[in-house]
Amino acid sequence: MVASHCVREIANNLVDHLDDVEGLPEYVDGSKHRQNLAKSWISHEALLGPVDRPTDVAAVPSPTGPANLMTVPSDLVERVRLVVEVEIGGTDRAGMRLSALMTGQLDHTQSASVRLLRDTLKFFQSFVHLRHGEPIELPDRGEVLGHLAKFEEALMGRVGDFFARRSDILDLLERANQRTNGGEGTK
Amino acid sequence: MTSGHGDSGEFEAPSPELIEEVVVRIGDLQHRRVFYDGLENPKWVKPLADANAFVNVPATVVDAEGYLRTTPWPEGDYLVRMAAEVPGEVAEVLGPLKDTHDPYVQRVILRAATHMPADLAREFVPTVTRLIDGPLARLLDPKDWVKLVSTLAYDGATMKEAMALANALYRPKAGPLEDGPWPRKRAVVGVEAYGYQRSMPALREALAPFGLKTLIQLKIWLEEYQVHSGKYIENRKRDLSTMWRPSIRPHEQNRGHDEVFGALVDVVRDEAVSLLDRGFGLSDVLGVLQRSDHPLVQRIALHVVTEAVSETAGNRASGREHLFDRHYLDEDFRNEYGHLARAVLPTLNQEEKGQWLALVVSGPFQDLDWLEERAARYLKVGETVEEVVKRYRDVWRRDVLASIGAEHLPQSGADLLAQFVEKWGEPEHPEFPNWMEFKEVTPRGAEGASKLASLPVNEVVVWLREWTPDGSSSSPEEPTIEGQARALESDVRQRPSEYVAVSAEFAELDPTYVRALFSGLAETVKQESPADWAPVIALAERVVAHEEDAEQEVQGFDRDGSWRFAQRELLRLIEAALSKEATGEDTNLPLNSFVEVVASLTGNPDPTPEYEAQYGGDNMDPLTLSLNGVRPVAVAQLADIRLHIHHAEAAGRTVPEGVRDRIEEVLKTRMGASADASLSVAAAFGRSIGKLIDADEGWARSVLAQLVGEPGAPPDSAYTDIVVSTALATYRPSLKLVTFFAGYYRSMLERAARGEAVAVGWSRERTATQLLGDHIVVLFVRGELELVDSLISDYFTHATVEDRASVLGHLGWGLGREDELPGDVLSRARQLMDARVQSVRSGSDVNELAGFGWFAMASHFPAEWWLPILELAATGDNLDPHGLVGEALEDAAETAPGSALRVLSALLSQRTEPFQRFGLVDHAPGVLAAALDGGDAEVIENARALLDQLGRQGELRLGDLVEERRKRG
Repeated sequence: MVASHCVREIANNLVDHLDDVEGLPEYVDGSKHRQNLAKSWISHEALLGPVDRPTDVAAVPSPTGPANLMTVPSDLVERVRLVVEVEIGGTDRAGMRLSALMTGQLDHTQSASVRLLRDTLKFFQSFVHLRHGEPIELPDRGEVLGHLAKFEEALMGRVGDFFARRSDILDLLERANQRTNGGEGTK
Repeated sequence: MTSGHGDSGEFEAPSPELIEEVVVRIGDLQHRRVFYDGLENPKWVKPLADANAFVNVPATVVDAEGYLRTTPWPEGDYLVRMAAEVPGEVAEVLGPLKDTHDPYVQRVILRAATHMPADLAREFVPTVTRLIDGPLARLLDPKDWVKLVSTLAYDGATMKEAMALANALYRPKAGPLEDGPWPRKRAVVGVEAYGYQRSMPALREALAPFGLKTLIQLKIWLEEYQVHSGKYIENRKRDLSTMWRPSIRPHEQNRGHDEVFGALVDVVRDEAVSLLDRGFGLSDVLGVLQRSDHPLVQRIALHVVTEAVSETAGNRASGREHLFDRHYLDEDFRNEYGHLARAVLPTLNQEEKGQWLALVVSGPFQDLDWLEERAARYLKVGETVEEVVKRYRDVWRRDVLASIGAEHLPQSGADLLAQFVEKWGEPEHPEFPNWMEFKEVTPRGAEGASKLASLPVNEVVVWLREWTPDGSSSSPEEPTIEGQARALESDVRQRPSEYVAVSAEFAELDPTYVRALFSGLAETVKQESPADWAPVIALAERVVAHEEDAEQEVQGFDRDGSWRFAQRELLRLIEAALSKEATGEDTNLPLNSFVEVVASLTGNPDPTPEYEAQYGGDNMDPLTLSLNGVRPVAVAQLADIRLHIHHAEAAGRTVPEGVRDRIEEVLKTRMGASADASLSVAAAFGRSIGKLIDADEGWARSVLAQLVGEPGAPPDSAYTDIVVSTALATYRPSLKLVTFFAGYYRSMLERAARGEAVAVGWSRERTATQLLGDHIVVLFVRGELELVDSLISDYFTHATVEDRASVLGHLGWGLGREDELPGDVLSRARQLMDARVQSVRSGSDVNELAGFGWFAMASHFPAEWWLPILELAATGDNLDPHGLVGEALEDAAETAPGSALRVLSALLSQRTEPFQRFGLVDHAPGVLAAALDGGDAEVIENARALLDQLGRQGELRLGDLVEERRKRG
């Protein structure tokens, strides 16, 4: 769980520290908007009723659609919008930030490298929090180390020695261009 | 990647683990470049595709300057290379991208498709067709497209796509009208003209499977090109093709001014002949070509008949048929008909030869009314229409026969040709109705020098007075006044003293001859001055009295339209005479007369304000304008004479009394914008002021305010700026000159600082205020000024930072051009820079040091001096590295690696364009190696950071280069 938290924090913040990708969207903490929404409701309790029971405000049918309409304070609607925006736009932002972390470019959200990193982060994400008494089956050590190694390799491409990584890739190329022994020269 | 490369064995398929091992390491663009550039294994295509490695394609954008910007797509280049090995897998990867509008991705698809079989490649034809109208089309080598056309054409199932693609690329369309006063129609094609011509033979081969259809298509393209470019006159069915393409077969007369047109003629011709070689019948080929109304295509048909005539009996019959077709005796077919006749005539029997000659003699075939109507236009004095018609017919017959050549004609034809030649002369280039050659153009009549030389000079004068050009003929042999003048000038050089004696008589002649006389004398006077100048002075007095304005000028290239050309030549003659006297060889010049003649011309209307408005301004600077105007040249010449007198007096020679005062009096009347607002006259004073100062500084100072106004007075025109800046531009730095105008600099500097215009007399690369700075800093390094001098302090206080930077950079540049310089000059240059650096460190704008790179490159100064200054300069945002500073940095890095590294890093961080970085990146390995081996932990860390940064910017070999340098030590 500690490792998962560490991985999550590094993944969320390192790209801001690198500060080398133009147009990087900011990380938005959704909990703050949720808290503000709650505060707004409480401040309008006299109008909307207490938050711990269903609203009991008179509503009228909409002349243009199927919904019923009621009067709601505008500042509360704005806070609702912010919460919804985090929910919808947050996915895009997170994708771009992850792309930026892995590739240095915002638009590689679906590339192989970013997908690999996303899978690794999902792995750690699943162990960040307890599950309200539900037992968690911990992965074996080898699986954790394997994901940690991938995470580290991904980051080293961005923060490690560029030419050392180039050298690694040239070694990999030798393996990638390997031919079977004694073949006939076909492909 | 194949056995052909010398490797043995089959490529291994990658394991999922290896794929994952790679993918996690190639997130960074440059790491992807390293991997995909080196990947040779086609068995990676599908696993990488399954891992989504190819889904992120670059998006091209147009930047603020209108340039296309994109990021590299190394995956695309890998797919192109693999397309020949695993075309199906590559097609599967590229398939989802075929609707792309990104030109770079379209190009990848095109290049990959050229390696695919037709059934796969056809899917991408719409994609690559869109590329034709895109921004990259002109940058592409058409051979990729042609290869794709070939692949498609040779597969029966995709021939339609092949022809569609070929049409999209090569079929001419109507383009926008050409710009210009007479807009012309223009044909456009999908390929850049040079590439069109180069690739056309390959395209013809690519389309070979279409057989006759290829020729049909190519013929249509040629016809459409003619129509869309306006070269075919549809209502008359004429095309003037003998002018644009004199010969269908290769010939030096076929001038390659239009690559597309030339390529189309060649390809139609070659395809038609090739079809015969491939077994198609002549009648089939002619059936295609002779359906055309275009004379050009019919000429090609005639060429094909000629090429085929020896092959079969049927072809020989066709040859005879064409030879006897009087349609082809028309001038439009003259060249090709000549070739046909030479091929066919030997195959005819005597009777047929006689019939053919009778046909020729019966021509030309226009009706008599037409001939007479045309003949009436060309009547010569004493000729009748009937005679002209007869002449035309004879010459036409002569030219037909001559175009074939006497040696190829039957004897009776050769005899007839000889008769025509005897009567009408030998035709030049009869096989080409339009013959073009480039000759040096000389005025007609210039060759008459020998005639003039045969006459006594007084008869020459009479002859020139009485002779007038006939003007009735446009013959190149017709003499002109300009031609006679050239002959005269040549003759004057041969016997100048004789012409001097009669020169007064030239006053009544055309000014062209007077100009020629002065010009000839100006050349000879340098060797020997006339014993008696009186006749020349008499003529000069008449010449200077002519003052016509531009409206009175007679237009024409064959004579001088005005007296001003003779007046300018007169001034040149006086200048030549004075230059001889300046050597002390000639002391008998009529100085008084010269001065009066020149003084008269200082009031000449040339150049007029209208002329200066039209040709000055942005078109020509005042100094350049002044070199060709009578009035400014006269002003400058008076100053020359004034200095001449000064030198003569200094040498102890006697000078006529009053001449000096007269010059000064005349010059004074011409000084200042209120006397003459001409900026070319201002420039003339500017380039002469040094001479006037040298001749008499006291007098020059006494008239300064009249010339350029009171110091500090607001300038009412550019006049003052022009005088001052022309002086600064035309004289070497001189303390006397710089201090002479000292009161006028503040205004110029302050106006420049406010962004107001400061006029410059000589538009080179330096502004007026930069020229001033150049003079001042040079005087300082020469030791003629001190730092505390107000000229220097005022300049660096009031000049703009751009001017200060430019002046200091110019000084560094100038020092760098000298191999050796005195130590005190270098010392003072350093002193100046140190003072400016101190000023910057005290808070003035660091961009004043933007030109300091020139000092670093000058190789006169130690690195320990310039490196810290360059480091300071690099903190500005405008340091101009000029590329070569990289070399100086590399040298300096041996002794000051940390400082050199910081400068290199700062310069590279300010420049993103490859051409700006080249000189720096080129020398970066040396700087980085020195920093890494220097032992300073902080410097080493900075070097690693810069190395890393450059690697991520795409300098992939830099790591190896740095290591090589470190090993070399």
